[in-house]
Amino acid sequence: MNIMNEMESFLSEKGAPDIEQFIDKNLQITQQIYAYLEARSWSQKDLAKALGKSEAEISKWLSGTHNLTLKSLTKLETILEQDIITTPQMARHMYEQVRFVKVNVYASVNVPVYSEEYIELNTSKPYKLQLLKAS
Amino acid sequence: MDQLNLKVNTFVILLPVTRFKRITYYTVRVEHDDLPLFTKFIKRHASPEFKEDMDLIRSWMRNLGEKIGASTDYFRQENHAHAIPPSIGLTKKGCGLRLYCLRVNHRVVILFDGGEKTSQRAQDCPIVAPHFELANRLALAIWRVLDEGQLQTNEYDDLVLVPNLKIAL
Repeated sequence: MNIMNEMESFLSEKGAPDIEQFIDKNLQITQQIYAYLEARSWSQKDLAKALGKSEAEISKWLSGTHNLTLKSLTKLETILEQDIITTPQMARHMYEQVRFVKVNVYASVNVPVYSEEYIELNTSKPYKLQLLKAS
Repeated sequence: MDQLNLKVNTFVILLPVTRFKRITYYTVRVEHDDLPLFTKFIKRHASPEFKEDMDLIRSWMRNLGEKIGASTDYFRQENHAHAIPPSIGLTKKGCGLRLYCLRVNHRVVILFDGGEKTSQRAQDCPIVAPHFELANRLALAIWRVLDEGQLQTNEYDDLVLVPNLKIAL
């Protein structure tokens, strides 16, 4: 194997499955936290203040390789007022309750069209939306 | 680590390693050396003793490469250079290995060499100190050629490799 292939194959090889899963989940979680922070226009400093932790500690929590405890995660969920982890069973339960979704469609600046409809969720058929001219 | 003779002009050559959806990884080879720095790192840590740490670094690099990109949040700042992984990880002892690199932008990461960090400050660790020093010299040299326009990025923020470009340290 030549030198370049050796480096490439190192990166493409899979490691221990538990480590792969650990990194994958950890990055998913930190990405979710960063998204919540961005939505609130919060910096890591704001989060540290809200949690009563040092900035260095929060930076470590959000590094993507830190072993966050469930206790730390629930503290974060409480402060951010959002779920960070939702199990598949809980997600199914939550979304089974949704029967109707409101759809607003805005299109084209030159020919303004506007549609506001309630559609019943039915996974067995595709949805067709009719675009109406704004009155 | 082989000591570089910094009294004479030392040049490095930039080499692509692999391209993922969101990150292209590069490395450098010191002129007259047989192996690029990242290959040296892989070879020196191929023993079972480092398997867990290497798995962690590899998985982390691939995940960022495929899904996230080189966000600054996920790199340790090491003066002018960077290092991975950013924090202690899965194992009780944490990840002792440091791989020095340069995060150029969200698309480009240039991998150097590294080792097992045994003290709080990289400069105080006999194993990683030379890698830390070299990574910082390399980082400054690469920023210099980028600033001077000898090395450029394309519309996707990836590097445009120039054949035979030798970067002076």
